[in-house]
Amino acid sequence: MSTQALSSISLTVQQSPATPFDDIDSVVAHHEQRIFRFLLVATRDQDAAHSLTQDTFLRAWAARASFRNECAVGTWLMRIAINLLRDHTRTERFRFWKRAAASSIDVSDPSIHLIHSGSSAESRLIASEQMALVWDTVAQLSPRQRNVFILRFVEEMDLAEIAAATGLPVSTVKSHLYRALGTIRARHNTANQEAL
Amino acid sequence: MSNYTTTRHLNRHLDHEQLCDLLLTSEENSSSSVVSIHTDSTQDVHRQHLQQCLICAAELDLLRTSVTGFRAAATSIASHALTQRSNRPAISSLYTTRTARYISPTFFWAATGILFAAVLPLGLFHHNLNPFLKPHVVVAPAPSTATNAAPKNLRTSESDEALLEGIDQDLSAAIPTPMQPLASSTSNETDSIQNTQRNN
Repeated sequence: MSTQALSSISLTVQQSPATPFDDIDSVVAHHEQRIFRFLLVATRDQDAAHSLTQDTFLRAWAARASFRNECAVGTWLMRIAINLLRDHTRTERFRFWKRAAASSIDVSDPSIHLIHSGSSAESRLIASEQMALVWDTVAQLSPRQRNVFILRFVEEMDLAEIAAATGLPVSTVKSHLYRALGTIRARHNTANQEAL
Repeated sequence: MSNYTTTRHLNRHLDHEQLCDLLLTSEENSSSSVVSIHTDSTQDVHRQHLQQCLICAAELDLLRTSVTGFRAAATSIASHALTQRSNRPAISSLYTTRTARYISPTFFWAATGILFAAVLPLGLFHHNLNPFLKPHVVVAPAPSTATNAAPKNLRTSESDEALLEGIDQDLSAAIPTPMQPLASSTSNETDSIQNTQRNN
C-alpha cells in the first residue's frame, strides 16, 4: 500500500464525526438519574440498577461511533438500558437476586411518605395505599408491559419515543399500556370490593 | 358528528380504552402522538361526558392519582438511592479504570483453554506429576535399615533414662551449701514454734 493511501486512511480515522458521547461526563450528568430510575423501578434492586446503569453508559460510550443522531440521546440510552435489562432478566443471576431480594425496595420506605408530607393524614394514607397497589401490580406485569408502563408514567416519554426505545410499533405500545392500566383498574376494583 | 351520536356518547359510560386515552392525554398534553390516538372532537365529547358522569370522573381520577403517586414514589426512591450511592466512584471515572481492567468473557475462556492445553500434557506425560504413570515400586523389607534402626532406638532410650536419673538426683539431693543457713534457721524456728504450742 502506498504512503499516500495510508495517509488518506489516517485522515479518515482522524476526521470521524464527533458524537455527543465524546463528552461522556455531560451525558452521564444529564441522563444518569433517568436511566437509573427506570432500571430501579423495573428491577426493584438497587445494586442491579446501579450496575446496569453503569453498563448502559459503558456500552453507549463503546458504541458511540454507531450513534447516527436518528433519535435523541436519551432515547438511544434508554434502548441500550432496555436491552441490558432484558439480558439481565434472562440470566440465572437475576432469578437469584429476585429470590434473595437483599437490596430490594420496600414500599414502606419512609422516603415515599415524604412526598405527601404537606397533606392530611387521611389523604396520605389513601394515597399511600393506592400507590402501594400500583407498585405491587406493576411488579406482576409482564416485563414488556412493565417497561412500557414505566417509560410512559414514570419517565413521561410519549408513545413515539417509547416505540423507538423498545423497538415496538406504536400500536403495540398502546395496547401494552391499555392492558397494564386494565390490570391496575381490576386491582382497584378488587380492593374496593374487599373493603366493602 | 351528529347530535344523536353525541347524545349517545354522553349517556354511555366511557369504556376502558377511552378512559386510558383521556389519562394519556391529560398526562402529556403536548405530546402529538398521544393526541393522535383520537380526534380532538371525540376527546371533547369524552370530556363533556366526564363533566356529567361522576362515575367515569371518579374512575379517571383514581387512575390519575395512582399513576401520579407511583411516579412520585419512584422518583423519590431513585433520588434517595442515588444520594446513598453518591460516595461511590462516579460512572464517568469508570471509563478509564474499568475499560483497562475489563476482560471480555471470550478472552477469559480462551486464555483458560490455552492454559489447560499447555498444562494438561505436562500432567499426563510427566511421570513425577502423574501418579498413575509412576512405576510401581515394590516395597521390600530392607534388613540393613532395620538393623540400623534398632541400636538407634536403644541409644535413645538409654540417654532418656540417664536424663531422668539426673533429674531425680537433683531433686533428692541435699540443700545446696549456700542455702544451708536458711534451711537450718527455718527448721529451728519451726521446732521452737512447735515446742511453744505443745507447752500451751
